[in-house]
Amino acid sequence: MSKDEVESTFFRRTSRWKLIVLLLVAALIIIVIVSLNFGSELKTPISFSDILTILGKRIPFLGDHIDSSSITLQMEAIILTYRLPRVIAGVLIGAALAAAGVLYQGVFKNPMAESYVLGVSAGAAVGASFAILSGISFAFLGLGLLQVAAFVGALSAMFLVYSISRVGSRVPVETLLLNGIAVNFCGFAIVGLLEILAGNELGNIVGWLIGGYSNILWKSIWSVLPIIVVGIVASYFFARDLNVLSMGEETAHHLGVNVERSKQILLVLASLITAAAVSISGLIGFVGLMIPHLTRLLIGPDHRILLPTSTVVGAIYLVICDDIARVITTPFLSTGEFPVGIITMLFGGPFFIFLLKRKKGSYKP
Amino acid sequence: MLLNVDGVECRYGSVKVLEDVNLSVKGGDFVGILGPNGSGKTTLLKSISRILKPHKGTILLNEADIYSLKSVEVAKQMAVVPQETSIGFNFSALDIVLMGRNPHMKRFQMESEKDMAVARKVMNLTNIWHLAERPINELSGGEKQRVIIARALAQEPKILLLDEPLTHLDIMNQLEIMDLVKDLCVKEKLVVLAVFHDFNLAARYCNSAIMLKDSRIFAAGNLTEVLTSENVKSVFNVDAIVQKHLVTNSIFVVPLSPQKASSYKKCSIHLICGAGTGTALMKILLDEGYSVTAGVLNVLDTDFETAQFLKIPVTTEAPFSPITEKTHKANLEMISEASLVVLTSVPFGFGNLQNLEAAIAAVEQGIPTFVIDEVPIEKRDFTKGKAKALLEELRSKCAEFVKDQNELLSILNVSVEKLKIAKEERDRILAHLKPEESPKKTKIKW
Amino acid sequence: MNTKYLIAAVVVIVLIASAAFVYIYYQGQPSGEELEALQNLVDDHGYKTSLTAYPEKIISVAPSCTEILFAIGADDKVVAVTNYDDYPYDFAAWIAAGNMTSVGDFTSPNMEVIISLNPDLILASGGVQEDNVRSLRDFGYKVLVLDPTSVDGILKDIELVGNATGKQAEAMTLVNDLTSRINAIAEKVANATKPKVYYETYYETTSSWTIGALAWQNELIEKAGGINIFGDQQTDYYQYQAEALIDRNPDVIVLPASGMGTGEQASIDAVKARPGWDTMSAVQNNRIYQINPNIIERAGPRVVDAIEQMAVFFHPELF
Repeated sequence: MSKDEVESTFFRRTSRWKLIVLLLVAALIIIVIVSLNFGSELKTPISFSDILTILGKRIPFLGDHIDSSSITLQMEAIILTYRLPRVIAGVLIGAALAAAGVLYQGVFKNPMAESYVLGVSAGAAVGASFAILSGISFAFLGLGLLQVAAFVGALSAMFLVYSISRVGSRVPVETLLLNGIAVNFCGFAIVGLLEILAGNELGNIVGWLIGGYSNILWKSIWSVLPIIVVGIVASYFFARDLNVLSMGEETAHHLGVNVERSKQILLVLASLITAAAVSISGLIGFVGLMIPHLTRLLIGPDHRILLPTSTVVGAIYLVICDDIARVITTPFLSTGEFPVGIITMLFGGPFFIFLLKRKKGSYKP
Repeated sequence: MLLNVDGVECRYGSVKVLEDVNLSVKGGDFVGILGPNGSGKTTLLKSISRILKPHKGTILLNEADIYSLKSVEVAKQMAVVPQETSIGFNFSALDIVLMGRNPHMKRFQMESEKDMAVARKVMNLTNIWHLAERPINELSGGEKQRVIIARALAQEPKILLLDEPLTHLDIMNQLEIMDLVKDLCVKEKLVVLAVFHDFNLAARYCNSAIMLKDSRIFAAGNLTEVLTSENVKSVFNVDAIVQKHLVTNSIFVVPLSPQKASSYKKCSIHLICGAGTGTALMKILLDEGYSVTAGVLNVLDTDFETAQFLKIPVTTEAPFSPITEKTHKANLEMISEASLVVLTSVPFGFGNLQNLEAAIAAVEQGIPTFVIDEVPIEKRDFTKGKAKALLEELRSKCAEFVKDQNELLSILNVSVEKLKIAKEERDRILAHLKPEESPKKTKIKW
Repeated sequence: MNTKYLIAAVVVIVLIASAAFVYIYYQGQPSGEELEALQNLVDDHGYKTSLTAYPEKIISVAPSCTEILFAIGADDKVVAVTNYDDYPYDFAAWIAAGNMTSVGDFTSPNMEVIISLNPDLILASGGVQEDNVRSLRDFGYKVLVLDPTSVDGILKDIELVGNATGKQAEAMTLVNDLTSRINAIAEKVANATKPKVYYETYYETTSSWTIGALAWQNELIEKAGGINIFGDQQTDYYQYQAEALIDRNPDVIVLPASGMGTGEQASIDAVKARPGWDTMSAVQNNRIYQINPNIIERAGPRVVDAIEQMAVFFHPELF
């Protein structure tokens, strides 16, 4: 290859990713709007144009000029209070879990790492189970006990795993992973015990574990949105470090990366993002593990591209799965809503295997 | 560029893996780090590259304590090529080489033209430019290694640490890479610290060396001072010949297989050889437990040098001089002490023709004589037929002709005891024989 | 001659006394039709129980059954009730004072207590009590299960209990009384527009329940002149989506809520504050009403009270 050929390939590749991310974001917006179509069977169905009108009315200045005669207060309430927060929650949680998965996989250089490694899932589950069983309904800054307990539990577990993994001045990733597994086992053992003692509340605990965020309130979303957005943006600053880290810690050290500090920051960011997501949605599986792999298969391992792309793909994936869950729900209504966690795993697994076979197992640039 | 290692001691837990290491290098130094397995070579590199902080002592880079500098600062000046790399994710070769530019790039920068130019330059130097877009996991071991080396070079370092960098590379690549590194070392005044297992490569490129033994420096200094057969013997417990090669003008090391503890065989073999034809045989026979003598050899002859090294008694003649009567007599004396005589396929000129006569004398004395006839006499007779004639005489006097060394050895293995007995028999028989009944026609039967 | 008359008089007196005695005795016993009914008591699950005489010791393991028993005057025969019973008397106090025995919980009545009392008849409700009912019948006790699905069913239950306890007349009176009250309401609200009514069985953000077409509360609402907003669901209890409720836009909200007094206004405000509920006509017109759950969720005579109260909620202008 001549000099110019390679350089142009290189720069083409880097400008192509910007295009990809832009397209994906556009797709996400469209999917969000389309998702607002899904919901219960209504006596007065809401059409697509109604949805656009309702949303349009909310845009400052422009909104006043839109003719809103065809929409009722009820329609607005349904879209803006029930469907929109749910879809937005899907975007946030999908993005958070996928981004956290990318970070964990990069730091651990381990394809099995995902958002719930480091004991975060077990910690959240223990916190949530205690909250459900205690029956105390307090509000901390307007947030329910369940959300706060899950968040605190998740972060506590992470700090616990981190502290016990320290060896001198270093925290080796293998130790972190193993301790994370151990803490996960212990945590879920406690949850199992709580389930046995749960009695009537068992259904609530199980429901939380499977994961779902129907009937989510705007205030819950506002409470986690800053953490998730700031966390994802901040982690982007370390994307190149992640590339170098994935070569190995010694190599990264030799190439000028402050390994321990980068690891710390990345793990804290990833855990914060995950804890925030889990606190409102329970343990939705698959997204944190597979979406990074999926994206990596399609666009390669460069974290500067991988991170933003995975984030958007994760958001799209979860929103679509939640739409499916809502549509399937109606016949199942007597047993409660279909948990979105089952959908994510049900559709994701086979699709991923299919993609893997097509690409024969690894990314070709 | 000054790198100063002072009194460094490294430990893993309570085990000392490096003790009292001192070393000082400047730009242009190409230092080979040698030593047996477990002597601390990689540890030394690790302590310099800031992976293993020394328990005692300091390491100074340009007068600054290397451990107190920021990673980025060090990375701009020092690059490391480790022994093993396993790359989990499927980056392309170009991606990986560009990571070498990491220390020079600010946090939010994407790669610039300059970075690309550097990458291109080093990839051309290491001959991997054509692999730029290939994913790393598809490359061969050697190609991967070159990518890693290119990445190190892309850092534009002033110090290059190499830990056995040439494993996986074929000979051509090894030489290319080493030539490249040497070139950079000389032109850009790089400091190169490289761990070698291959003495000869180290000898060829390094101008100084450190030999480690048992976690300490055993020898340090110029290459020729450090790489001696005494040092090799002390540190590696292996006999080796260390010589200067006439063509490459660098020393080379020929390790000899370690002395086998063999049973002493009360048997001595006299070798009539020269020009290298007897070197291998000398060693083999010694290993087998025979005592060996040789003659006549000229001083400076290859076989002579080997014999010196192996401490074999030799009847010597002055260099380039024909064999004198005196020397010939001395040779005959040596022969008479031997149980066996072996004549190798040595080329004959007028100067050493008398050695053939010595062989004939041996046969006439009844000493079992073997002639290794590997190369036809025609090809090595520079005496216009005289040597051939003498050889025929040998044949007619029933010297045993074998076609090569191995045949000789197999015969010997079978009959070493019988050799002795047969000789005694022979002497008795000869004593009773009349002169005309010389055992010309009697083939020696075992 | 006197002796003869004396003997005759004595015989007559004895005869009369015996007859009187027999009359009085058998007065309290079933005969003919009544006996037949007693021997063929078919409860709401179609199970036939047969008694030989009116029960002297009755245990009620459901508050609704207790209310029926006391409404038809069979109080004196009732020997045990559950902890939940509170109407028409403060049974908790009776139990505390030792005048009544408790069989414990409604969901799992204490078998040993029941057995130790050796009742002639047990009245139970359906649903969660089914296992207990089966056990009791296995032990040989007579159990009547009252599990009505309509107002009519409740009235029939009252009749059944009347037959079983010998209070047929009282039962009939009660049934007639209740029927006429129902009819009175029906007449009054006949021509009024029926408001859409949302009846809240249970509310939690993630799962909320209301009644469908098969619950008797549905019928109560209709009889009170309203329409159950989820009356199109062919089930007794229905878990609804908030969206669907907002979409259907109820005119009236009925909350079974215990604790009148200080708690009252708070829970109505909580309902109004629910996300998106402010768009409902019921919330905007402040037509959220609380009702004593005991009268509307127990299948007893007080359901008619419920109908009357709800009629006022639905059509205040008519009352």
